[in-house]
Amino acid sequence: MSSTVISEADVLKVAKLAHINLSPEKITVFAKQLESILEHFAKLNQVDVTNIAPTYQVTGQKNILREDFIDTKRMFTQAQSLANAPQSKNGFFVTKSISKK
Amino acid sequence: MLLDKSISELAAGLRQSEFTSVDLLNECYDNIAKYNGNINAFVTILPLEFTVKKAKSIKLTSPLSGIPFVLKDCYVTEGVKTTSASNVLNNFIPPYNATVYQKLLNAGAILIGKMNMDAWGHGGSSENTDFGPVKNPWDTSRVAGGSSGGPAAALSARMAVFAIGEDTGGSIRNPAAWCNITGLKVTYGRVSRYGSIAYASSFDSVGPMAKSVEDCAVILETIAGVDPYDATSSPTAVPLYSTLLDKKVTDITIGIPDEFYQEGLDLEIKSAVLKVATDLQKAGAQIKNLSMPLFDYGLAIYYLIGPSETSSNLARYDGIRFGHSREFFTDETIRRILIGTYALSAGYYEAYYKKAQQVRTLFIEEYKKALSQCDVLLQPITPTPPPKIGELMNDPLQNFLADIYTTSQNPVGVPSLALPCGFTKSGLPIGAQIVGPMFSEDLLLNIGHQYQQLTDSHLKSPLSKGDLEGLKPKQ
Repeated sequence: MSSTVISEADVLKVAKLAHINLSPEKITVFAKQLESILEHFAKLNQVDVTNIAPTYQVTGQKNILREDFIDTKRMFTQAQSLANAPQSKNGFFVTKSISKK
Repeated sequence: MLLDKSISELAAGLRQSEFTSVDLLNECYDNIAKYNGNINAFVTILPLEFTVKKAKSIKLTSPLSGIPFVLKDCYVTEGVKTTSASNVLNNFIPPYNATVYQKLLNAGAILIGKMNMDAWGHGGSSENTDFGPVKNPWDTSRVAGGSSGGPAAALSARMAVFAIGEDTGGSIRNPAAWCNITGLKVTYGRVSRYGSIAYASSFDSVGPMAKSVEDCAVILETIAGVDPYDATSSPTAVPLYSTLLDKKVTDITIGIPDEFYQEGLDLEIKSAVLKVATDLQKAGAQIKNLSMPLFDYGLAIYYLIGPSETSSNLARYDGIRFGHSREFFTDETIRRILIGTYALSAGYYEAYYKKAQQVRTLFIEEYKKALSQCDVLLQPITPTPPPKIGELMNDPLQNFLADIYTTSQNPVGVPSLALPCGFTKSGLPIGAQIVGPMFSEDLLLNIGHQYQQLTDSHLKSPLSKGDLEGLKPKQ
């Protein structure tokens, strides 16, 4: 975290990773705003974390298992599953093709 | 007004046929008709014919039977539009119920509305919503707080008896403080998150908002407990909180962490919060001043991990199976997605995300140490009274800094009870929070209830101020 400067190219790259379309004007605005936020985060550099394990969750639990059975209470009919879809056809969700023809 | 009564008084009145559930509904809908046009607390109001029909069929099986309530619009409700206050989901009709909602349905409580909030929980003012900001019923030129601003504003203007909010970094406590409402951020895992639209999955806490601690206790004992549908919900036994409120506070030591009362804290708020300690001291509690030197790092931990988790959660929204496309995210949500994606991306992961999780470990130790010197910690909730609408939206970093006292607990997981504790000279509500060890809700509610025996400020409503200019119905 030695440098907290975030360039417009960085913002563009991150936006692409996150599948967010940004106009050039927005990229400029976000780059400025993110810079001041990342500068604030830089204060974490003051803390010595040598040999400190990260904490990802605080439940104190691990390996929560359940019986392997079909829970019919959580099943949807095809009609229910498709009810909110913007586009469906023949019982399928319609999506953009991800492979070239 | 019936809606000024506590849940236990209402439950008794319903059983003695002094009034009916329909009477309660009528009061709620009357206040909604009078005030909501201006306050904008609701995203969806369930039709009165529908809720009345339901009320007439309710059997009085629990203290919540026949009691009207509202949900923050982040809880999925079968057949009832659920938006998370985002246009991305403005047409989403969920096919299933969140566990917290199902439990309240089983208890016979009656849902009357889905409430406005910062979209996806992203904000502390309920201005980052696609459905117009929520206004503070105490002064409608000011924000209600957030992200559970709709629930808090609605309770304060007596449009429902209680609400379920959701707290990721203060989202129950901040609007509770600014609207004079009592609210509980539970221990992480105390209440199931199943069906709660996720913001930051390792911080999100589902909890009650109401007019008093006693009401929160009744609600919590109904909604808490392990849920097979949420692997992070805790198997820790659920006490009958409402039966544990009467113990005196004579054995209690209240810790005052110095770092929470320094520069940046409004002086009126500081003295009102510290007066909670002296009031409890008069009732027999001990006070201990202590230090939490790592306090200042809490905000950075929160705003690295929270956006990282939200960017991961929202990465899955594709608008193919439900909702609209990602083009509909607002700027605040995009900012958090960008921060999170950046902190998790190759080359920055170690420096930002992992580092924050390591400091989180130390932060948890800091809380353990502080709580080994006392039973509970007394802290402010907000650094300032509610700002004017628009003020916080102009500067994203300032917007984050407004959460400094309430983002401190979620990375740790500890519970925190938000208590109204007075008003500024200009008549704006002030809140204090008491924070305890993991699963100490019984203790927090006990102390909070004892405090509320010493004061009546939590029972004050903006409606009792009379013909408030700001509360006149919209013409």
